[in-house]
Amino acid sequence: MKLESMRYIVPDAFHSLQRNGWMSFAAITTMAITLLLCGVFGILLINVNYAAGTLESDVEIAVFLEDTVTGEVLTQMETTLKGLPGVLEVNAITKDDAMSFMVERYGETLFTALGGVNPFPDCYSVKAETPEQIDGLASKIATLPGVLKVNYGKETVDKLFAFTDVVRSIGLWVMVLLAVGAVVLVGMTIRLTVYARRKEVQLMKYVGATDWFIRWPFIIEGALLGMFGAIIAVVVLIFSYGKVSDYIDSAIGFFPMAAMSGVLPMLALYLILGGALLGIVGSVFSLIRFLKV
Amino acid sequence: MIIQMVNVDRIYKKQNVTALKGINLAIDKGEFVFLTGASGAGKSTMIRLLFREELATSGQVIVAGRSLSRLSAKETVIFRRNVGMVFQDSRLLEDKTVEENVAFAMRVIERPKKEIDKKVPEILERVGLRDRMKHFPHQLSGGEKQRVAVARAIINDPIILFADEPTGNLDPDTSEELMELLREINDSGTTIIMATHDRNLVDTMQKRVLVLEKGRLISDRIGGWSL
Ligand SMILES: Nc1ncnc2c1ncn2[C@@H]1O[C@H](COP(=O)(O)OP(=O)(O)O)[C@@H](O)[C@H]1O
Ligand SMILES: [Mg+2]
Repeated sequence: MKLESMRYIVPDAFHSLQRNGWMSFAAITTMAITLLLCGVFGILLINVNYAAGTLESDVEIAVFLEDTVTGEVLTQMETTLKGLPGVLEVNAITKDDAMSFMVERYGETLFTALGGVNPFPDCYSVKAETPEQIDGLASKIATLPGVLKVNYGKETVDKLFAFTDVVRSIGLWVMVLLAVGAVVLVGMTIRLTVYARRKEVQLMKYVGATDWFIRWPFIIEGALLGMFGAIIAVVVLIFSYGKVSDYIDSAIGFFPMAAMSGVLPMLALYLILGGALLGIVGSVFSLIRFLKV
Repeated sequence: MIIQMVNVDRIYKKQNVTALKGINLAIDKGEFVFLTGASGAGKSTMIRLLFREELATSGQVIVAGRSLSRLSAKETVIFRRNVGMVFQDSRLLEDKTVEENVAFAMRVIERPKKEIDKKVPEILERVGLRDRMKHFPHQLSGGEKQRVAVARAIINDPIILFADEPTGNLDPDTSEELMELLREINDSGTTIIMATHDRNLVDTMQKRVLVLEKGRLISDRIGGWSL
């Protein structure tokens, strides 16, 4: 295949896409949905990994105390925590500190909405010397009398991974099914093109065109279908990522989201390549049956 | 000798039809050969074998020293580039102009654009359709369409031109004109094998005539149609 032949092949492929309008539309739409889903999962995984990285290296344990822990016992608690092996630093965050932090963030109405009662427990922030000590330290603190519960990054990460494992295994099957659908629809579209151009294909054989020369236009058409689907998916992702990330930021403030500029270019590239690949697979399938490859 | 057939049979097994039986013949380079016989005699089948669209059930079909049944896919492609074919229905692409239809044969074997741009007008001049370059097939008469088909078949300078009833859809005068064109092409050195059952054409041309009857070669002589 010489580059010069692209001058004819590419416009021909676009012409075919037009001629098979509805079929092309169906193939592109399925492709877009498949790739959009891939993109969403991709973004989810990237962000979970990103969050894991951030949270895992976090050496802080939040220790929440029961309401009964006051006065003498409270100061003793601080000494106990400081005395534990591997503890670097202990900071007290009192009920009042917590409340004023929340009021600062969400406004005075929150306090009113809570009926003027402060629901936050007293809390200590314990810093470990190294991230490796966090697990052991946290479980030790949890057993101390007067401790309501402990919260720390790695625990959140483990929960996140459990969640994404479930999502991933369901999502994988959905994606595989959709991808098969997309491949089949591309195959059907290409079959229509082969049929519409059967006279031309026959003539090409008669005048001595190579098999590959004959196949290329169909393969390119398949790749185009896939790439158009991918472009739609990418556009939807670009528009929604910012919005979703803003929403998550305001809803669960602590969850770190990777920046769009860092994530999307690579993802877009993968999606477009993936779309092209699926499209090529689809057209190769129909060429095997209809052009005696 | 450019074409040789040795004990060639062609049997369509499924339909249990013996289209050709025990064909032996030799054709020299530069000859003009008519292939005649009643409808169903096996003319088209013979052309398909020579064009390697089909393979002989038994026997050898040898073109330019090569046994066609032994050609690989790659060699078949090369073979096709060295022979031309014209059908009764001209098989032009309706959505392409005359110029594009002729260029098609060069384009799909990836000849350089420069060469295509130079050669297409030349060949259209030669078949007398220079002023029809931008027309579409539906704007042409039957005779003109066949000229375009001939132009497409010879643009890559084939050593052999096959034609299966090229005048089948044409009136006598137009047929004569097409025959004149084929004669010119033959005079310039291209071997021509033409299937026809047009008695008058064969008689006026006074060339070699092969007669098929029910798949057998029953006559091979120079001159007119009659036995
Ligand atoms: N593809 C085919 N399958 C089965 N029978 C065929 C096929 N092509 C031709 N035949 C049979 O072979 C015989 C010769 O046909 P053909 O070569 O087309 O004759 P002609 O061109 O002289 O009219 C006929 O009996 C025809 O029905
Ligand atoms: Mg015939």
